[in-house]
Amino acid sequence: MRHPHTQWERISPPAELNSGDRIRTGPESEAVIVFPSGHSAFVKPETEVTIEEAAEEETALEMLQGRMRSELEDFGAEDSYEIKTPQAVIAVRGTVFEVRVAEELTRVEVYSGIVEAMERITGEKVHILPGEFSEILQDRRPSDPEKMEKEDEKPDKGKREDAPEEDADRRDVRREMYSEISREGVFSGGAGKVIKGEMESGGDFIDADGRRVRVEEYIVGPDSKEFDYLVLNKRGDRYDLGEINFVFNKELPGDLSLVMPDMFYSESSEKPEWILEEMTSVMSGETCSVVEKGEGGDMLEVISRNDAAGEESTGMWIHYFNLKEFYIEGEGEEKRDVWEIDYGDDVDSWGELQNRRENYEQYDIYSGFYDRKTSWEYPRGDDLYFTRKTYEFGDEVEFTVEGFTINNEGEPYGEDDFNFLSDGLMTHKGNINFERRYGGCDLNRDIELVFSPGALYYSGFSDDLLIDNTEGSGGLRMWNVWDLKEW
Amino acid sequence: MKARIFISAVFLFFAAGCFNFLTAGVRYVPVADISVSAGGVSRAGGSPSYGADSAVYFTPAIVFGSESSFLPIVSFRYSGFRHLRELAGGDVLFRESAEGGINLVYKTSLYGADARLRAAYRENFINEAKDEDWSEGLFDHRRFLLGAEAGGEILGYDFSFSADYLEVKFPNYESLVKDFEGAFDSEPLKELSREAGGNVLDYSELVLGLSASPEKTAARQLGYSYSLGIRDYSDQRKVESDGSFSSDKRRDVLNSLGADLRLPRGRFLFGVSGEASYLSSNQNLYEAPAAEFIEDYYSWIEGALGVSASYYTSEDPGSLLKMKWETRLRSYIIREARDEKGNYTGDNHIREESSITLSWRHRLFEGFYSLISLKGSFNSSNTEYEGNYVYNFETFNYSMGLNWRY
Repeated sequence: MRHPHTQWERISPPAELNSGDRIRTGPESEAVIVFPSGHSAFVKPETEVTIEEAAEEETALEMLQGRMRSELEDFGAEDSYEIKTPQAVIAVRGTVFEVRVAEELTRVEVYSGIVEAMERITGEKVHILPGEFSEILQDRRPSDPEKMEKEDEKPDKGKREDAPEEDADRRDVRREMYSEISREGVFSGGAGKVIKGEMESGGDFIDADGRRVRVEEYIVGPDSKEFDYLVLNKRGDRYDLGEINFVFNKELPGDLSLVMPDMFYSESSEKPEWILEEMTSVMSGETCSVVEKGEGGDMLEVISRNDAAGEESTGMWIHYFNLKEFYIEGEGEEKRDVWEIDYGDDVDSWGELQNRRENYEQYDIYSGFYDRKTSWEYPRGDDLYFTRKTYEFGDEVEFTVEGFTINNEGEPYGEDDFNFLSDGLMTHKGNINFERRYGGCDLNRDIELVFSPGALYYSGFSDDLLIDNTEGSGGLRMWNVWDLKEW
Repeated sequence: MKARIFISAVFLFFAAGCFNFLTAGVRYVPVADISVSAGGVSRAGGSPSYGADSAVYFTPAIVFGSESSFLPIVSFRYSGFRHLRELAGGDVLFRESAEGGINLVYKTSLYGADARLRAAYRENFINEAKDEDWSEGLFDHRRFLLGAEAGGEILGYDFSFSADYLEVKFPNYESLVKDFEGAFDSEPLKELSREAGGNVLDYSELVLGLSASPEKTAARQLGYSYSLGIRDYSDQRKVESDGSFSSDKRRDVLNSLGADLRLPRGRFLFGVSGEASYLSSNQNLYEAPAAEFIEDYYSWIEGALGVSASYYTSEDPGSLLKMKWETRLRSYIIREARDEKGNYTGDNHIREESSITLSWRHRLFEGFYSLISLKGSFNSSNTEYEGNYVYNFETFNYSMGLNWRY
């Protein structure tokens, strides 16, 4: 309510009103005004009305918007009851009627008695009988009174008699509660976006056993000629760390993206400027580590001959190490060599390198030097990209190396999903992870590392280089960076 | 410390309430709302998932006279659906989530203006992997909130101003660099852990809001809003161009401008809403596998539009048939789109999320309503590389349930 020349103030019944007071109801509020004359005005939600006069025999209201129903008691000859709207003046000769003001329209509905409605500019009048209504637009004659539609056919969301009628308190409380719930939703959405952003940045996978694996990858350096690449894996309460140290032939630039794409393979007529000379990969569990070392690194130009055309093509450089070791180190245990290869430091061509490799047959057979044998198997069938190599030492310690290409739910891919030969690695680009598992190093558990496929893409590998054409390999390779250096 | 602040807020509310209790009529007004529903979610080309949702809200509100009220709101929600818009590209994991909390609201009137004080505490549990039980979820989080709001009429316009301060903590999430401290004897790891933050997702945020309603009649309700959110990550260090971490912490600033129009027409209610937002972040990205540094990786601008049409199927205002279409388009300022091989294309990374929802709520008998909902979601992006996150997918949700109101 607002007195003349004052601010709006909230009122609660019973409240005394005076001439000049203005009443305004909210979206879910109603009011009943009882005048000294005994007449009543039922003010509907979102209605604004001013009491111009409220006396025993005279009642005058000005209605700016909304709906209001008036009920008149014992209306006598001397009585006056008038409602003004922006378009009309309604003088009452009846007892029950309703006025609605919306934008530029006034609608008067009469339920009993007779109501006279006059348009304010033209002065045109109509008399509205019970059961009739008229609509009044500004500066136009009021519409001829028409019969009203039946109550239940009205396109109106008024309440049915049997619909639940909430009291004002409960309605207000419910509105406040829903408003708070809505605010909670906004703040919850903020936290949800933080989670989404973290998922988007990667680092959240499932391993081959359906367990969550968190992965974080970092580069530390460069520091002069070397940098380190770290892969951190966590499953539940266990930790696995992959750490690869790269040493080059010269000072490295600050931007390593100038170096990494050509580390292992380069398509260029010129030999790459930075050559990887040493690489040490350490995969650590809690009590032991699996170490793969490469030394004497260099790149050789591969010359291919197109037999059909008899032409030679160059412009492809491939990396190799002339000395490689693969061994296990454990706390309080003797170092165990898995295999060692030495091609010699006088390799001068790709052809010469290939010749020396053939002497080793498959790289993991080292006849006579260590009393062990190896096996290569496909534990879940040879149509799945899941391989296992087993090394047995003289004391019957078994060391296994398993390689997986898995989807985000930890299930190994197979030839039914895609074929590396025809489809390549990129066909399931959104759902490929690599996992390497070493068993028998840490006697209490395996060392397991999952890493992102991005490392392969950015290190210069193409789909072609993932294919192993060695007889007996089944056309598959071990799907990880460290094995792929062995083409 | 946070518990003390929260308890102090509770005491303050009760003190205010007791004062009113002594000076005006007091009414106890309990209100409750309980919903349960079940249904399915399917992704185009994928297998469906089925689950259930439930939500319980209850407030034993106390109303003092006509101006003041105190609402302690207790709420609990459980969801067994895959929320494919939230997961890393759907089809990943079955996710259950549950949340519960308490909100305290004290509302009163000061010189004709509405005023509110609020405090809230909420716990969220997100159960994803097979080896994670309740309370072990990687992204479980909790939130404290304190806020105030005041509103009134100025020059014929209804204004409202709000200020909220919140803190969000992820108790199970720590960067692995910090987590690995002491576990391995590695010099590079030691160097990293000296610089990197630990609880990198934890943040505090101040949100200031202003809304204005220039028009509020039976025929049209129009409102404008502006909000400013300043979010500080207490333990997330800014990444430098060489992949190292600086001493600066990450800060995001979000500006949002919105407008809302409602048009009641008899039993119909039409609505149009729009929002424009700009997020500015000082955080960068260093992609280790590629040794690639991207500055200002997280800043974006976003536009959203929503159109709805509701029809009140009976005189009961709770019986409603509603159709809603929403779309949201985000463009990153610096971050580029990537092709399917992960190469950056030079175009700004853009993603679009749209949805169409059809819902029907119908009164069965006093206090009980049936609920039916159908929703189609469409997500697309000019980024085709989905090694970490799937951007292009479509889903269809459907559910049926019951709602009880007291």
